[in-house]
Amino acid sequence: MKWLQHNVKIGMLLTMGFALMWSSCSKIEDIASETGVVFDTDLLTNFASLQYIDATDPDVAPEGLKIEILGKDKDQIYSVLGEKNIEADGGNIVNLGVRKIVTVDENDPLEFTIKVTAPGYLPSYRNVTIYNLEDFQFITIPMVREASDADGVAFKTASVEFGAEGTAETIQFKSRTPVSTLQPLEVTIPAQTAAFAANGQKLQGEAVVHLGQFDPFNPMAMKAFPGELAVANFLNEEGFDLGPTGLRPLAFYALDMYVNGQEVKTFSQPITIRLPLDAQTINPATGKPVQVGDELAVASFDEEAAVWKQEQTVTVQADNLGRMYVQFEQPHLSFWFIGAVPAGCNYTLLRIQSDIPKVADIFRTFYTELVDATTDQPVAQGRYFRFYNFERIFIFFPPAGNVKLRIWDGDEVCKDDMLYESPAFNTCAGTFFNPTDINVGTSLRKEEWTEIFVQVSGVCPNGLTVRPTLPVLFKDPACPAYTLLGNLKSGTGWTTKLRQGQYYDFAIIYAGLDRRISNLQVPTQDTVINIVSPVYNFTETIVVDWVPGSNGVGQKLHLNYQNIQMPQLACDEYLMYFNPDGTPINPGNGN
Amino acid sequence: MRIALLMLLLVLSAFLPLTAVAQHDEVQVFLRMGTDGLPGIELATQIPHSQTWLRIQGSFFDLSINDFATDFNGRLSFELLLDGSATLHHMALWADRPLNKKQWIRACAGVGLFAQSELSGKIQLAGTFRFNDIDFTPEEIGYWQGTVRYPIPFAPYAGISLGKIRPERRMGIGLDIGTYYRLNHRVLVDATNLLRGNEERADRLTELTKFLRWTPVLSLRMTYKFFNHQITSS
Repeated sequence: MKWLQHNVKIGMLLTMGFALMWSSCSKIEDIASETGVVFDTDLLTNFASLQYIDATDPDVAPEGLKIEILGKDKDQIYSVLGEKNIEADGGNIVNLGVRKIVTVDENDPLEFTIKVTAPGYLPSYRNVTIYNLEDFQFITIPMVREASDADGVAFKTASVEFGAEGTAETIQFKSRTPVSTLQPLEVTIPAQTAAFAANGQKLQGEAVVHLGQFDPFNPMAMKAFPGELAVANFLNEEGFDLGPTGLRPLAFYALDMYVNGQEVKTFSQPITIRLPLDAQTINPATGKPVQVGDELAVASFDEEAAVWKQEQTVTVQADNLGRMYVQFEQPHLSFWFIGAVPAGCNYTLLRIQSDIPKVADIFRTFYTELVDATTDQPVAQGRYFRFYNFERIFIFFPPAGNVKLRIWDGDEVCKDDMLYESPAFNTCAGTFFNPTDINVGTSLRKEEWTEIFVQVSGVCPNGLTVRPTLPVLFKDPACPAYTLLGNLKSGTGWTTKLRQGQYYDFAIIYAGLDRRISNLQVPTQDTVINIVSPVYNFTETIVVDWVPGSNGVGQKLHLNYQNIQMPQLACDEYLMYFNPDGTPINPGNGN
Repeated sequence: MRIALLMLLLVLSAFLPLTAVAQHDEVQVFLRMGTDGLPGIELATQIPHSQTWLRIQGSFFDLSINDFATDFNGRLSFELLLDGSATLHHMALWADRPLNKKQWIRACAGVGLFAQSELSGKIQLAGTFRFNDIDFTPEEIGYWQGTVRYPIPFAPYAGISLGKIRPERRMGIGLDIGTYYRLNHRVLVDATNLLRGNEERADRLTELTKFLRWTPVLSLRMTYKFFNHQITSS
């Protein structure tokens, strides 16, 4: 009966509809074609993009990236087109998305680790904690090329012969130090040590050894530190999770060996690592020069679980000549560090005071670092925040202790000037009900900002209007890596990061697209910019409209790039997953 | 509202013969059913010394369909969920003028007062939709909903009327064919998620759907004598 009722009703509606149409010369299809359908391109919420660059030569993008998501919330992470198999856009940009039904907050943040491997590079692991999906993060991660020195990284290459009975004799070699203030690590492989692959296979032949030592005080070098410097989980020697912990390396290194291309993972007996310490070396656990009897943690990174685990505790000793050192046995190869593992807090909450209003048209983010107040050592990976007045900023899992906040004008690769450094504050003092006040005042406005308002929309031959939602990247031509200019949302975006008259490179590298324009000047007056696309074989114009600011000088710029008559190719690229009426189709259908 | 209007018409049906209508004539009561009312009630009386009839009517047209799933006979690879509704609550005053001697065909003109008039339709996916590695829910994809409203409540009417108003027997059947012309209309669009952004196409849709200002009437009029006798003045 319900079916009958429905059909009777449908019949009545159709009758009425036909009667309406009968009274008109218009046709529904005419209306549909003349009106068009507006379609957004953000199927998922794109909350973060990661750019992988070569640590040695940042102009070079590592090739052959393989991406894997690990950790607690790995099942919630997709490509921005809803794929579990995430691939890099443009070769080195990883755009991450979550379903729009996912909600996060400071009590239930999104936590995962992104593992990226590339041939010839050390694997990269980065913990990501997101408590606000609107707080878009663009993260640049230098990948360390094996055996290639980089900023804060030095490699020692050696060879070791593993015979049928293992090493024929005791083998010793030292690392190269990236800075003179560090001491070289000494590696000893005992005689008759056999090497094994991860699957237990005994490896024989000449092993190529790469021993990379990282400067734990160099922020760029520490971006290669697996996971995070402030972690949610840290396993003690018994495998018990200690919870939030700060990782404060005194020495951080990666020791890799390859026999005929197969990676060595374990040995028949441990190798020995010795780290000399001079009297000026600061013990990160005490903040004072190391002394004989000080205890340090030795930890390794579990690459399967993407978590650091304490292997042992070592005591600072002195030899007959009074030279201090620590020495320990290392049974397997991975990333290792020697240092302190102070307990951390779940988060520290900062309450911002600034002259930037929250309800501003301009969405501008600033690169921010957290460093130890005494040693300047990074205690967490850098992030981007807006620093609007009364903003509450959560920094998760910081180590307990005094730190300083540093805010930079540029991005993490090309930092430009430091705009602000906070007084020292205790990380665990900033609680939900009693946040730490950070008053940046007017310091973030180094100069008057040029407010640029952008509107972009395109019309496909079938009448469909596309309003893109995607991040737009830019860089100073002299800077090797892109950074975030702003996010277009439904074809609308704002930015203050450009300066009048200067030249920049722009890029949209997203959802399979890779479009770049180099050396484009920011106009200084009303004009029309012609964009010639060699890919789509079409020319379009952007109308530039300067609006004078309060002092009579043009400070607001409107870039109107609308009603673009999009070539079919561009529409196909944008809409490959959608029917002309806007309903999604299964790409497997061949449409 | 509907009950109040019906009550008003019933009261009018009792009092009109004694007041507004000429004493020598009778008032006919009709039930109406059609595109302007489902149901409707109509009172008609002849103007004294004239062939012109006056008709006053109140009609309700409330029709809705909810959660009707269809793939349009297999034309789509997925099902859509349709919601639709049409609401017309109106009163009208028409005048009929016979076009032939036997008065079974008449020209009709008048005005309608629409207390409520709104057309609405909503489309969304009926079930989850597999897209790459995600089963998207209809809520994630979003919906498109269009609503047509008429800000001006008055509308002129013109048409023809078939069948005698005064039946020769106890029951009679007539037909009204005509149309109201709404002086203004407005299309409102509500769209969410992937389809958001279509709201601003509402103005363009309003331009393109001016035909919706014509509200056609195709209505069956049953000339039924409620009290088994003609209501006549005393």
